[in-house]
Amino acid sequence: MKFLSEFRDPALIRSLLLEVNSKVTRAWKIMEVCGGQTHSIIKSGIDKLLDPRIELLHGPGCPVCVTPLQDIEVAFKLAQSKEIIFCSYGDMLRVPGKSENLLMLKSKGAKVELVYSPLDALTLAQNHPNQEVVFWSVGFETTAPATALAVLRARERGLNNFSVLVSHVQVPPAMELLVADPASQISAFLAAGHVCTITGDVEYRAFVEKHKIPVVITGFEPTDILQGILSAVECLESSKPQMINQYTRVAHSGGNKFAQVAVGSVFEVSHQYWRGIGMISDSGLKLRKDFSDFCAQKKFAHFENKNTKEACSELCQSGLLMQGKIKPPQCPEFGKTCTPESPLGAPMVSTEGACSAYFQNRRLIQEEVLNYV
Amino acid sequence: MCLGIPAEVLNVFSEGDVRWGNVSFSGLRKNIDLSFVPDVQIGDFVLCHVGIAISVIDQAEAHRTLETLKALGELDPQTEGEVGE
Repeated sequence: MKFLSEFRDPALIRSLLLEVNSKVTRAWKIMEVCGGQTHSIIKSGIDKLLDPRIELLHGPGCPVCVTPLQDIEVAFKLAQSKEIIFCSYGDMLRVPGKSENLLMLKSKGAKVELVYSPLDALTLAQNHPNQEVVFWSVGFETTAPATALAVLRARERGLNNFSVLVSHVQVPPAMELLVADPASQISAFLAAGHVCTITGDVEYRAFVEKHKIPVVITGFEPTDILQGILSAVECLESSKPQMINQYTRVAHSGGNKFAQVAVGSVFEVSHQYWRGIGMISDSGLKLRKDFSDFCAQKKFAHFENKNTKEACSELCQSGLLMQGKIKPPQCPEFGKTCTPESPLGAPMVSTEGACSAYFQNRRLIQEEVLNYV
Repeated sequence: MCLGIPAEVLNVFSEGDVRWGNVSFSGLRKNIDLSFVPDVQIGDFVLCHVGIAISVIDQAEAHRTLETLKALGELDPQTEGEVGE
């Protein structure tokens, strides 16, 4: 497939591995921010092929995993209402709440629909004028523009039976939180290429300036990730922290201005609770007052349960996982009581969850690092 | 959730004010909203995310990246000898 398979070429991967490993003289811990990158790394085995002095830490880039239980409980209540068609992305339908997930509710008769796009949710609202359609919008900066576009279009079309339950999160505040931890061992970040496709690199340049930690905007294919690691290692070995864009074919310095305008007109920045991590200032988005007619939390305020205690299963160690402090096989429940069929937490079911990546690729035990190159 | 897939724009059409592209994901055809890539043209490749094109793929940059990587491969024999020095 064009612009994918070329970046999975084994010969190029081998050259990159040799190049990276030839540059390493010290131990470095490099965090890939995005869960999509984590999946690519584990699937391709990059972490095993690198010089053992390079450790890849898996970061907080799984929006499904960090969606707070309070939002999940509200979603479940909305989904069980007879007047509502509740829809979201496939990952969200599999996220465990206290005891069930949305697909289980659907099997009991709840009107729950899986959609590919917020625009599909809009079409549902148009086709069911006598029903309320609630779209659960989740995701990082990459996904927020699509939600904004759906809300703008709902207003243009006068669709007053459409609303969104907003659980959007933003990456840079989480990176700030991670490096503020005195115990942080992060030497460099691979920033999420598709987030930067929307936002551009301004915040990342400021981050490098402030913390003197290299940040490489990186794509998702194996050669992208290795090239990102190579740039990070070169910065670290030369003690010259820089912001570097590896993903130049897709992400541009200024980002996507049209998407930024849409997001800015519909959303404002808010504080956000991250499941397993806690409250992070200015890390979320909420609908502007002007768009409150489309806010499901306001429209159906009677469903809100403010008493929900914020915790996933006490056995799930998602908080430590999302901060790169443990890897899935270090969790005693991983692959035993916690599997995709009976998950204890979202990282086991999300397509961006580290536990899901390890389980799918049969990394069930903490293995010795092997150096094949 | 941040999954983005490249697709070739095969056709462009409008519905009211909305500009759509009929795109091909290696043969799988789908209509994608082009609101955030207004300058896109037939034959361009776009990065699609949740039904919306979020970037036009810079083909020159893609080729430049691949050429850089291929050049690394050509240097392999020398670099291999230097490992561990």
